[in-house]
Amino acid sequence: MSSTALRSISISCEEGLDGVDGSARFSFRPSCSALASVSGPITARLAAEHPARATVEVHVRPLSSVPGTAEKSRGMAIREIVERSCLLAQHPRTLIQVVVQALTNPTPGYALLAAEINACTLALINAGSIAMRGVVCAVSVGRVKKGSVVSVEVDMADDAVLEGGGCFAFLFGFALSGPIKGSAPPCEDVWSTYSARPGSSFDQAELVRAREVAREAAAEVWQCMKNNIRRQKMVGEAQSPEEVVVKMEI
Amino acid sequence: MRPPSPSIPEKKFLYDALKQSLRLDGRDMLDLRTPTFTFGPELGWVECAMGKTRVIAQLDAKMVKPLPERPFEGIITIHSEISPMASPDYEPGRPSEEEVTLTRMLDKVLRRSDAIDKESLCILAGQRVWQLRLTVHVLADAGNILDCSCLAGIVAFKHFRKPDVEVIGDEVTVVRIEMILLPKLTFFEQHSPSERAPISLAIHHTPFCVTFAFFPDVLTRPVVDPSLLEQRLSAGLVSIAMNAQREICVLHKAGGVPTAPEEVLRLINIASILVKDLDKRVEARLLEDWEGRKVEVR
Repeated sequence: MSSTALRSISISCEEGLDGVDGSARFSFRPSCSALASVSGPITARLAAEHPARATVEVHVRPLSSVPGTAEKSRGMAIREIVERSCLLAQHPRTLIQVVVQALTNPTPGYALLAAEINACTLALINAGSIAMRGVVCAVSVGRVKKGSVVSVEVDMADDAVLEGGGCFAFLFGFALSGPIKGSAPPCEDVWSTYSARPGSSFDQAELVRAREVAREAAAEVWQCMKNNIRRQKMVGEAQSPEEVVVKMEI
Repeated sequence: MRPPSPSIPEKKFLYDALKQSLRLDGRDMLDLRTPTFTFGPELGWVECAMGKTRVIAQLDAKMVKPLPERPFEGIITIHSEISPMASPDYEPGRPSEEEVTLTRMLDKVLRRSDAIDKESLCILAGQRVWQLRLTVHVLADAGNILDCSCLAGIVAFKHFRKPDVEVIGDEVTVVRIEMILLPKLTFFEQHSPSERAPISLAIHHTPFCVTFAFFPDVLTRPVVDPSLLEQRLSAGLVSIAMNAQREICVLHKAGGVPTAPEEVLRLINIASILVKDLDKRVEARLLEDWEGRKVEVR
């Protein structure tokens, strides 16, 4: 189930948003999509600058209405991830401004958060101005009832019946130590959250299972990102580097 | 810290070019950037791009109790906060002058002009009405986000379809057998889109906004749809919101550039030609999108 679930991932870095340094769109499916933009390193306000490293500012905006507490908590999660994955000490006294715009309505699970994290990663790569330790890929997982199989959240119908779920973000990088599974580089767990709906509960074994499922799915997301970046045209190129469409091995 | 753009060479170059009626992006003085629309999978989601300026507008509806002083009218709210994505110059929480202008103009053009019929949003007088919430997100600011936002907003209203609601009064109208109907109680049934086709909003007229930029040199003619540099270096802006029937909804003049009445009438004439063209383009695009969706009409 996990390998077929991510077939409808769509990535677009051809945005070229004019006011920012880098931007990208990521969607797991048409009903779960996010756009992220990165500006940096730029001048920080005097109150916000840090003498030894860059300051990271994340703004998360929902599709409808004004940002609320849910957006604030997603913003904090994304800020932690960006701080852990970027080499901030290379740009002291500057600001890295990340703005995430949700393009679809939020779901009860964590799929939108995962899409937002992936969009941020792609935007940072697209900007090209901030060095990163690795590429962060996130997936959301869920399970229907206690003890049942944990699987990657597939579509909206799943959201309604999920009783427990979480989001796992992994940092992929060839410089990291660890086993290499397939074509993806070794990864480390950089951020995670897991919860059960009121009335249900989860145990440690389930958490470990969930992390493993998420790790495999995140490797597929990494492969998708790599394929997309490989196909992108650089400034001044007439054709993309690979004429042949790279098919994802499922 | 680098002083903000525009620099003196940019300023001089732009003014000299405009004196010769040349614009930096090659357009004519009275040429709009052609707007392109992308519609989302949901109805009421539209992304409007005019050149590099991009705006997303999204409309959703929910049923609420109406305001006590207006029990027969629906409620329309518009949210239009500019995020730092449009440009790092915009700070969240501190509305810049541009943002205040945007909010006021959207309010006047879309709400106060009575473009959308509020009484048709009433479901049950005094108890339930539709509340439409339009959220406008500015993704990229390459000049003239005002026109782009107004365009995205009105297209979102035209694109949106609200669910069909039937009020079951004292009479027992069997629509769903499993529902228990008690006399003297009214129930609302919201039909899911697969049961009944959603209905479009009652729109009286379609207002479009056209912005002109004036420059300090009196001999330089005004330009339509200024780019970012032209907007920053302009001495004043005039925004005219009108519909294809030549009715003016809003005339907004900012900056204090002295303008003769004949000049204002000339601008209105130019705007009316551009608005007619915009109207045709929007209608054609909406029709094209509607054909592409499989919505059953019984």
